[in-house]
Amino acid sequence: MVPLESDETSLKEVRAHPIFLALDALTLLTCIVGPILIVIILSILPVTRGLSGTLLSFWPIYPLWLLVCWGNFFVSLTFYFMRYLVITNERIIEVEQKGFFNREVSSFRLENIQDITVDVHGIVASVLDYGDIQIQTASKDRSFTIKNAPHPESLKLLISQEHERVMKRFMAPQTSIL
Amino acid sequence: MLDQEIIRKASDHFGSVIQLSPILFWLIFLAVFAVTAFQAAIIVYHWYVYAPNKKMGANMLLLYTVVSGVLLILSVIGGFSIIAFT
Repeated sequence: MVPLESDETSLKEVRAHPIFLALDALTLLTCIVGPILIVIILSILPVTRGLSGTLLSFWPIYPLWLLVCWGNFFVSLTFYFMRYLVITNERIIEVEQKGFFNREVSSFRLENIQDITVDVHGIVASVLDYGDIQIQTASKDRSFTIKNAPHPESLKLLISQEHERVMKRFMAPQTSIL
Repeated sequence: MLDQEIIRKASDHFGSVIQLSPILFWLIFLAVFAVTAFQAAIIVYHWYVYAPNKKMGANMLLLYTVVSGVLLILSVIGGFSIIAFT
């Protein structure tokens, strides 16, 4: 869990579009159904009928195969849920799980935002409404990129609104002095 | 006809592999179990420590444990059935 400051509230948690999770689930489904389909096809074809019987004798290994597939699917699931971005009323926090032993948590304050770019690339991305958001910050040309975020335009709007709110708060004392 | 003969021979060969090398099958089983156990330990650790929120972490751990447990039991049953066949 990402620790927040005392006066900080989480506004939104952003992950990659669920279609990427669905693709992983589809791979798992293929791994489950694939061996069964192979045996069925081999048993239908007259030439390979004998071989299908032998393949059926391998059924005790099938649960083990499923265990391996399930493990790999859950690794993908873990990475999907552990790569996310938290938009708070003060900061943007990026949690990046690059590998099981490679985790990076970085954050920047909303007032440091200089530019937000949305890149929706391709037919699938346009239809499903997901894309990359690049946030340019003032600190040493550092930029943050959120890959395949769902509804990037509304996300950009939310970040812009929060940025404006924070900037107004910063500007208010200065104008009163002037 | 020739194809069927080749496949019959291949089938006999595979059958004899199962019959003659149950140890090989157990070694494969144990190797996969070891890798899966290591993977499970890492997954459980990550969900326990780094879960985005406690509820999600608990749900994911429950899902992973239940499904993996069922598959593990089925795998062990499968492994023992190989012994029974051979």
